[in-house]
Amino acid sequence: MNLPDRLAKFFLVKEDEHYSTAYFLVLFLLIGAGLAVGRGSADTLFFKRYGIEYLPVMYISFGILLSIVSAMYAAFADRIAAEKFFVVIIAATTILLLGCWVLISVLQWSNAYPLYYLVYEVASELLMMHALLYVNQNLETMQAKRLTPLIFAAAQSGKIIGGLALTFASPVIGVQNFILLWVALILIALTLIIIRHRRSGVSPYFRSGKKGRKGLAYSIDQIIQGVQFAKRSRLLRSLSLALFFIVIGFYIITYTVNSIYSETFSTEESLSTFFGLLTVVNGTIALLIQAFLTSKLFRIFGIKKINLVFPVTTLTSYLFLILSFTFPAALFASFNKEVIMTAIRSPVRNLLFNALPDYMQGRARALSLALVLPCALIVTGGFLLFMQNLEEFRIYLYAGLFSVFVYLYYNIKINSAYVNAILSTLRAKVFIPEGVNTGSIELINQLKKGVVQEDSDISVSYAKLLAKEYPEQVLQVVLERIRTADHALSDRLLKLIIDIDLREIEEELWVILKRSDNHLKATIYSLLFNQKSSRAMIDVESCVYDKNPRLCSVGIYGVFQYKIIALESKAKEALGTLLESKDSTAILAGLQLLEQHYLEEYGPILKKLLLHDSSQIVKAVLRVLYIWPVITNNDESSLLKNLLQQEDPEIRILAVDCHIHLPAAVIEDSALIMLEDSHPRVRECAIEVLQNRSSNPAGLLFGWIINNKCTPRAQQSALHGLRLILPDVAIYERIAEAKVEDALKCRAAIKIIPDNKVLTSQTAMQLLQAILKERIQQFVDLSLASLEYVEDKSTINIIRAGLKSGDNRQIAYACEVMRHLKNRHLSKMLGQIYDGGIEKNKRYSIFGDFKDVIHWCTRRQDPWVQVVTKQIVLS
Amino acid sequence: MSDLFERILLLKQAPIFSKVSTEDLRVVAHELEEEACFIGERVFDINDPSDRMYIIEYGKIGISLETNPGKKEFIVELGAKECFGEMGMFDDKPRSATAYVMEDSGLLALEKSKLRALIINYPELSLGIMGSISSRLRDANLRLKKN
Repeated sequence: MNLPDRLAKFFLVKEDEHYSTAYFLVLFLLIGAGLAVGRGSADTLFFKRYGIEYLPVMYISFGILLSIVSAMYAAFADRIAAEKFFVVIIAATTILLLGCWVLISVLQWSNAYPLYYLVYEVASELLMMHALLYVNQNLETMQAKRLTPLIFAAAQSGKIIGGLALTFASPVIGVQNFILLWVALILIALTLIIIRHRRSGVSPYFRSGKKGRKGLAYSIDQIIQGVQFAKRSRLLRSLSLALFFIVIGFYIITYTVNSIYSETFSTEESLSTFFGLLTVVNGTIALLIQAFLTSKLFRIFGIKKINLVFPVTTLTSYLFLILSFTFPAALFASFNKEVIMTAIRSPVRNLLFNALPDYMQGRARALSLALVLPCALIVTGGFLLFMQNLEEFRIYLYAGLFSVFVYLYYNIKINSAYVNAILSTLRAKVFIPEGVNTGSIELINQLKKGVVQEDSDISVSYAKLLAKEYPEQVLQVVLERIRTADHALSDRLLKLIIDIDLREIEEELWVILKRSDNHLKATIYSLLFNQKSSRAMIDVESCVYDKNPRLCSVGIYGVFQYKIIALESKAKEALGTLLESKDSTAILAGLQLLEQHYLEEYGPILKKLLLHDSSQIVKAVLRVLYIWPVITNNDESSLLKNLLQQEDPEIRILAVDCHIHLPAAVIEDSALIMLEDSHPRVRECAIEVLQNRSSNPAGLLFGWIINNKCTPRAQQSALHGLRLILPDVAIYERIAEAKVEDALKCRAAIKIIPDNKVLTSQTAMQLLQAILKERIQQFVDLSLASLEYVEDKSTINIIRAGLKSGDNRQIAYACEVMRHLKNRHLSKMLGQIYDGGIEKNKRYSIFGDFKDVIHWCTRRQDPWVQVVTKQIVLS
Repeated sequence: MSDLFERILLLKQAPIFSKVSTEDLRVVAHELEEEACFIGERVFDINDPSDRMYIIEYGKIGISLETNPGKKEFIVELGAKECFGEMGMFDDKPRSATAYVMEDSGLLALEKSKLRALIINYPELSLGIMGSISSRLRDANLRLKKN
């Protein structure tokens, strides 16, 4: 592995990200160098040639100016791709900087110094703010999380270079000429941006906002929308309030340290050299932290804890300055605002903003820039101006201290709002409703409308739903539909109301009977006999003697239902004739009767009919066997076992159902075969049978899942069954952890496979990789399904939907939520599956080489993996 | 066996089956029939019955909406691992385009009746297909929104 590859691996840059990472590094290096040069020159020129006592006025002016510029920014931030907007910002900055340089160097106008100071402040805010938006439009959240620290490190390197230039070149070229250097740097950055986007097109995560009103009204709308969203979003509200108070704290401390530095360094050159040195030292430390620590700190401690670092160090800075208003205390404060803020606070804030919905991020940033930051600056400037008139001037530090305490409080609130914000963003993206309204009158009316509409199949489907959920509502609407229905549809609809009290519609049934064919007649008679209608009893005998098998069957049913002893022997004889007939319709009619009235003497015929060629008859027999325990011993169980191999899934489902009458040992013996069935209903039935018959269903299911005794799909069914009978949180945590471990092992195995291209069976290896990738997904699914019992179910559903969305950004959101599950160990392991942490986790490096992977695959009780692995071994 | 594996991998890379598990694709792969087509031929014409879909093993197929066979203006040119004719598998409507063979091609055909039988027996297959179709619909929506 060559050096760039090693570096890329060390900094968690993936193979396909090399080019774009290099681009962002160079871009931010140039921007950083420009800002360092601008900062040093603007501060020096203003403090030494104009006067630091005017700094509070600058804060107020900067606040007002920033709100105007930001309002303009808000008008376009969401509507124009970030790269296009960059062109506008850099062009405007270039013109203003060149103007300042002319006013300072050529016209020597003294008011040019505050002007340049303001240009720097506004341009630096806008450039960094927009650069971050640009990164977000080009990287998804997981990428941003890995690469943002590195990109910030590049900006920091730029600042060091800028600081060095200031230190060594300011006595030679003069401080004001650094303006030209800044112009040159941002123009190079602009050229890079243009070249990249000519090649790669629009930023991939840019989503254009709605086009409509333009100009200031639109900008104000944007800010108002930001405010309204802040009212709804606890995260944005807390972020905005935290910003307000840290701006006050930050600018008070900036004013303080600059006063100390101005007093300490008497000349312009010494001050600019010091600023240069300070930038280099702080920049280097910040760079080292960003490069080697920041991302690791995020991984180890998580965003929430890291979010509290900057408030705490800022409080410490204030305490030092209050206790000792000296140069060393100022140095610590500078360290805090330049190192900790750059290396820790800025990346955290950027990630927190990422938790907001995409469409709101531009508006939220505009709200910060156009409203919150200017308001805080104006308050700070006004407060400092007021304090300058007091004798005990340094009392203002206590106000700064107070604002930082409030800032800490809001950061704690941000932490509690963060995960919920991601969840609601993800919920909206994956279209998971917050709740479903059931049982309403509207719903019943919709179902009724469905029954009376024209299409037969749809009508029956609606009627089924209505009969199941609201049986008291179904009779009248079914009758209404039957009035215009053909015989077939009438028959299907009437069968749905067989178990409902029909007395109120009996008269109507007789009317329908008169215009019915034999098939429909049989159905209506069966309804009437079922209700023991006295009027229908007269017709029983004629039905028994009818040549139509269905009517005959219904007649036999009537004999048993009304207990007409005189007709019993005739009925039994007729039933035997039906069952032994060569006509399938007759057999089916007989079997239908046996479902309702089983007669023991027909057991042998039923067993014989199980081998019938007609799948319809086999199904009808199985339905009878399910209700009546005909096959109950081990010897006859093979009759049912053989049916588990049938192609027709309905036969397999019914055969599994019939196992209910077999001994538990036989069921347990066949359960794994049933669980591996391709049809989910077969698997569900297998679980139901096992639950009803096995003495220890929970133990069996848990053992199969935890020991991977069956494929993940079968495990999914087993887990579903287990959840119905075993409410033990610890068990599900254990399953969840075991499944994530399985997923991690699959991932480790995949990593080994590509390194063995010398083997001939490349196709089989590719397929093995594809299967293992599927297994990872299935094991994660299993783990999440187990977690539904442990964690909040809706949160798990949202995570699952996010992971399956196929959209990198939603997957990233889901991963971020996973990191904040209650079970920290599990959330860390789940995170490793998606963020590449596995490579560094020795625990899952169980495979020394490809042979180990093959050995592991062969030992797995996974038939599909075994088939493919066997092929690789044979090759 | 390796032929079967290749087919499964090919199916996995075809957009309509990309979300179906390789385990379920095993049964689909068994139902595929090989067809060789030569340059200049037509695989099907507009208004032909939609009785099968195709996955391209190798070669190039051009899809045209022109009813005049003389005019060959392709709305899309498809290469290896891509599939065509799949919409008719579900909506029962006749072919809405003509498929021309632009280079000698090897196709794997899947009959509608076979796919439907498979779906009845392996219902999770249909979930995978629906997932793939839904992803394509979302992509199309995003493209429309961008344009």
